[in-house]
Amino acid sequence: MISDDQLIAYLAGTLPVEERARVETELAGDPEALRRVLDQERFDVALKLLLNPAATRAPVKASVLAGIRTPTHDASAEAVMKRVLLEAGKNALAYHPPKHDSSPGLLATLAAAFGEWIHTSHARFLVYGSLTVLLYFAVSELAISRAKRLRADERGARLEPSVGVVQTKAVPTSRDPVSWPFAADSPWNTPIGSGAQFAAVQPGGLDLTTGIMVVSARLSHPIFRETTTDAPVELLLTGQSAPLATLRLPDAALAATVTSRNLHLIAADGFTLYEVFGAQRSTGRVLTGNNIKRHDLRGSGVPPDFASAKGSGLTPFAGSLTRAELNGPIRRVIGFVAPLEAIAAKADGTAHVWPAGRSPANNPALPSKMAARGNVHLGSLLAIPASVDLATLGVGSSGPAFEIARALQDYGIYVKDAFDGEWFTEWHQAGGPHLIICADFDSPADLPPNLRAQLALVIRHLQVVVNNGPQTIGGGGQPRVKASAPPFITQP
Amino acid sequence: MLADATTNSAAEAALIRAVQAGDTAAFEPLVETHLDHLRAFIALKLPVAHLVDELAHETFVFAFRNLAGFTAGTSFRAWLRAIAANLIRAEVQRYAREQQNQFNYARARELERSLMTGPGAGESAEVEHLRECLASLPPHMQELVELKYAQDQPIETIAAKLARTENAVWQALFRLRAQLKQCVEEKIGRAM
Repeated sequence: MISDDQLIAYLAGTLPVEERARVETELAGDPEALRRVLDQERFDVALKLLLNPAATRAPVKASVLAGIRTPTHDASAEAVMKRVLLEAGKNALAYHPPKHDSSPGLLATLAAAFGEWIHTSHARFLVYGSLTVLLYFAVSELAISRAKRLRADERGARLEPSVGVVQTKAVPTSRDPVSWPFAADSPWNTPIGSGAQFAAVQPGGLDLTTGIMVVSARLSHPIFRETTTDAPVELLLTGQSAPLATLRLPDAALAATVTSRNLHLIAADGFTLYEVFGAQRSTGRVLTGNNIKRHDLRGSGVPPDFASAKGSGLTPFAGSLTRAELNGPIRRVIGFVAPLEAIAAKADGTAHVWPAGRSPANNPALPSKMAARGNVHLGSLLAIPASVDLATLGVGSSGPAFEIARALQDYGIYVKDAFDGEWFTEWHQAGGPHLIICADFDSPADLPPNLRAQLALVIRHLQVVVNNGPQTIGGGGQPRVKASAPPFITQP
Repeated sequence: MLADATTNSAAEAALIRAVQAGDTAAFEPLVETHLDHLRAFIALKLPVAHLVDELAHETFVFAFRNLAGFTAGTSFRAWLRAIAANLIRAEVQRYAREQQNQFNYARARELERSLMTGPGAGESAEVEHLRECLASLPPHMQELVELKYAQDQPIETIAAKLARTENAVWQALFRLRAQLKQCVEEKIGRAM
């Protein structure tokens, strides 16, 4: 029998994780108590919407009006879902479309790679849209000769399984801020130091036994570069008439709002980044965004200098692996996103540590979903201690799993954002892993089939670098490997 | 049953006819009029905030694309509720099918069950009843509602303002919502 006090604590989100799980088990077998919980939730949400509608209604209204002007219902329905997730401080990856019907033919083939979610009209649009976006993306890449040169290496490097050879590519003499961003002394480019103090990941929050998921950065946060040949596109903040900027962008950037509301636009100078969150295409060549921020990719990459509009202030752009990096070496810190229940709230009510700038407190429902215990917060740096011999981890000595493992030991991995996985079907289908990293690939078939399984064993060795801070980045002391970020390329 | 005055107005019928004649802009005041009501209606069926907004969006877009089949002069709001109810049902059934976690499955099944009870969506006046019930609350509960829901104040702030513990505020909110639910159900019972 569940008491009122227990229900109240459950609804308030104040129960410890184990107690919460126990209450949920009891609720599953107690329809009357479950009904009371649902009634409480119903009236809670309804009262918020009824008495303070202005807080959230404008974007919904805007999306409806945009939706009725959109040729297909699918596109607009998906757009609003992306927007809602982004504005709730959730990772856009958390999007899963409502399901309606099944899909035959070509889609059945694609389903093998993309999973069951492809069997939806929304997902079909997502896939076709993505393919269109990728096609345009490739065309725009060809139009930029410098970028083409820099990426020739990446195109040549296919993602082959380990062949037992350590790749020892020379450190490049220059780098493109898009594929290797931020200053050489940025936390994102600083190796683990000899002074790093490690602590085991405490139970209650992040669970390293849940595994890892590698998702396509092109769906999570598509990147488009300004060209010299495309027609101008105006960037407008929602509700404003004067453009924040005008960039010459390929049509793919406009089309991408169908598949992602989280665009990253690179100006012609090659280092100015416009984060456009809640992106929506308006009439003609106009992109509106609920939040548009301008950053310099040559800066620190962390708040306050580079305060992303994302929930933690850390940008999705950071720590996302390029295609070339998957074949090694990775010379920078990786970033991952985690479900809310993996992030531990702190005693002061926040859930972030440096270099993250804030916690997702804008949505009152989110903090209650976080872990009450644990030592992993937004912005936490984790790494594999030097005492762990990578040769014992079953990842061979080359290939993506080995390269990622090596980077986890040499540079570590930051918690850059959190998402609400309650309705994230693909994540549930993947077993609800607590680590999600982004990499640049077209299709899951581009990745070694055993990558997830290999990495699932690797990440169990991660520990928290407890003394990571602005004065002791990576724990301080002698860098484990020589910091190697070269100067940025000179623009043509 | 409460009169659905706003939805039967001649002005609204004129807007609907304008949209049916091809004037897309005439749909905006219809959205403006009904959006808050519809979101609250959906929340009372499916209390997941981001799905409320998604389904509200889907409802209006569906209504727009199928407006040719709507008879101007009848209740547009009731029609919206009926569309939303169908979308909610489909979403809840899909969610129930996907759940492997015992609690989430039970939760989805309970949501599904509750959709089958009570008045039909078109006739539902839950939102109107809720507004009436709010207006009839005693002053101390109205203050709590104002702080928590109209002003969206954190619990610790509310506790400080009301000189109560945070736990006491959570308990008061629990009782408040239960009281509102009972009030709404009584009004529904009397109307049937």
